[in-house]
Amino acid sequence: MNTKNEKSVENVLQQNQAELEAMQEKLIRAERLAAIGELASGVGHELRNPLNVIRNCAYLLKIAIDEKDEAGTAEALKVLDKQIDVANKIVTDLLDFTRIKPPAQTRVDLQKLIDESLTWVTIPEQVKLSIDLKGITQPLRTDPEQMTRVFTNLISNAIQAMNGKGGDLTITTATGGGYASIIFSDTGCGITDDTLKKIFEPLFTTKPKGIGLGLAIAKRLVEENSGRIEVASETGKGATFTVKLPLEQRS
Amino acid sequence: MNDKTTILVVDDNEDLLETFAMILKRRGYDVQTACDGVGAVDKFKEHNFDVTLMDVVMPEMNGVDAFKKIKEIQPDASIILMTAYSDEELVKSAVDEGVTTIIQKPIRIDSLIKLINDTAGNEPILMVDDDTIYQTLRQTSLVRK
Repeated sequence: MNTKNEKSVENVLQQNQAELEAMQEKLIRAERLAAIGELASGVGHELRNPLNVIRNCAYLLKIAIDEKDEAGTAEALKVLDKQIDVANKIVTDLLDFTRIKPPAQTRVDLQKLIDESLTWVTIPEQVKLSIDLKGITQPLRTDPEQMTRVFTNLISNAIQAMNGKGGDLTITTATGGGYASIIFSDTGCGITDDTLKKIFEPLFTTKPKGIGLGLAIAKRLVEENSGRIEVASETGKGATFTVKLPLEQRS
Repeated sequence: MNDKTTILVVDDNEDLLETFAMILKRRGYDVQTACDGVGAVDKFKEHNFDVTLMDVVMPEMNGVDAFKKIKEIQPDASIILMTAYSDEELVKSAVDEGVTTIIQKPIRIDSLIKLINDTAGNEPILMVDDDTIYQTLRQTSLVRK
């Protein structure tokens, strides 16, 4: 009797377990599909702007060619070329996020990295940029290309946070606990507490346009380089992003 | 007839704004531009426009809010709202504000020109690109045939 009961209890348990597993699998699948949907929607919409410009350019190009307007042809081709870069960046961002290359670390000159990062961003006239890198005296080892990408993203976000109204963008440095900190502070709109919690999550964005991969990629790149990225903000007053990279051990 | 039609193009994507404006100028329209909703409303304070071609998702003031304000200034303004983004909330609020015709983006230039010429009436037009929303709205018979 006891053995029989035990067996039926065991059967019920096994059945429950199987049902639970099936349900879990279903949930994981649904979540995965939802994530793919979100990604496809983000990327698709983001790509449609350059595609639309390309279509407009093709139209303008046809007019220019018909009218033998050389200047018009050159201008349309220039815009067309730029849109390919825009579209390419969207695809690159996506691929980079899914397959981040192992960092090729070398000894870097921080000033050069910051200068290189600044060449990728246009600093508006209303934004006052100040840089003080005296806080790091020890050499740094990191992947220069990956770190340029991180810095460019942080600088460009800071400018966008100042929303055309201008403000101060300060890049400073500090050393402590075996880490070199590169600190990007802006006096922009700041980040709400809710946003702060999700700010490094992929596909999370508060911008009217964008896929929401910039900071997620930045975080992964910093972590791949054995570093950390931190954020602090007060709404309305600005935000500070700190990239902490391990200092090279002095022999 | 075309050269008398005044068009305001509003988009925060500079390249899209410029290329739309160049095309429409080439087609003989009198074109002005604004890079966000606030700029669009400011333009309406100075001029009347026959047709406005306006992006929906923009910083500062979105296309739907700008649409409401423009209607206060020029009640008979004909506005074509367009978006590459499917912000469901914004699309719903556009419909609530009286947008009755939905056109999918991207749209071919010749179709756009036809649309502009047809939009002499007061029907605001919303071009959307998201299938789900398009289907939903089509079910509620809001899509232009």
